[in-house]
Amino acid sequence: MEHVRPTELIQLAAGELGAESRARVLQHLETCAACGRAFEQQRRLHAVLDAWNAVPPGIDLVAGLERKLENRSQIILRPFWGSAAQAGRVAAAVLLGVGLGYGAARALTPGSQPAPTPPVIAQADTPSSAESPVDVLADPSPAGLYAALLDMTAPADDEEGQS
Amino acid sequence: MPADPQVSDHELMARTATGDREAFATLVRRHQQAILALAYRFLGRWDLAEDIGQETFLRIWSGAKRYEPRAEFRTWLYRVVANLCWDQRRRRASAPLSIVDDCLDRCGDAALPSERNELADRVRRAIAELPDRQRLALVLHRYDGLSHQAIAEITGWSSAAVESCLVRAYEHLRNSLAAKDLG
Repeated sequence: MEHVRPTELIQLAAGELGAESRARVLQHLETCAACGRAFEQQRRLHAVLDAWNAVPPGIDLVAGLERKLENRSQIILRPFWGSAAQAGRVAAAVLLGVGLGYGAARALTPGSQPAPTPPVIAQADTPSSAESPVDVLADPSPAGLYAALLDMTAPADDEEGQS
Repeated sequence: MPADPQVSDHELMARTATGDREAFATLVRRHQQAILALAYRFLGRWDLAEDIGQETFLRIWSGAKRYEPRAEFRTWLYRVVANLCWDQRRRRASAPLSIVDDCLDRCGDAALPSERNELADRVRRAIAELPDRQRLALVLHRYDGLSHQAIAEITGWSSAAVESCLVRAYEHLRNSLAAKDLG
């Protein structure tokens, strides 16, 4: 005689067996003491397991989910403004870095120093029109030009003394 | 406008896909107890169960537009929960299932006789000792009333694997629970 499979006993105790299978198993249980005992144990086990009635201790997920969805929607709206501000900060930092780097490079590289200003003595050799004894613009005649030329080629008194 | 409690899960999902939060809230209230109990029985802690519940429904909200009502909604929902529970256990694979002793204060029914609370505690501990696969199959079968076929759909295991898990789980419990518990 073939015994009932354990899985069928489980299904019978859980009320899962179809009508045909159920009738077959029940018929077997009437004549097989071993399977009858196994089924009774399974039935009692189910009843014992039902003693553990896990009731959530006042947890309501709705409020928490509402908050999370609200936060998500704010995050979805935020990127444009958030990224614009972020991009501004990054651009400012880059510009500052480039500026500092450029300045430092110029200060440390000899070839890139600014051209030296002409010596002051060269300016002293070229008298301004206000200091010139002959005002060319005031006397543009050949005589005036000649006088101006003589004045420019004549050595100064202090140069004479030095030589 | 509050959703009609008689509206089907599929209809609520269709409305959730359009961003209807009332429909979503109705869906959450309808299923949260079962989800929390399932996660708690599998993970052994209410705080973890609450996290799983939150994450499950956030995924439901995010995936509502892709939802296709081919199977029963509950099967789809339980699949999400089972996957999250499974991930949670994998992350803590080396750790034994936590048996939190404040459980009886929180989940036990104070109105029940203490003998029944003691029995509930023994059952809880016996189930916590089961290997993960057996425990998941047993919880889905015994406490959520799901058939072998439904468990196979939820877990992605073959029917034979589900049967095997259940037979071994019940056998383990028969052996671990004291003879007096089984009468």
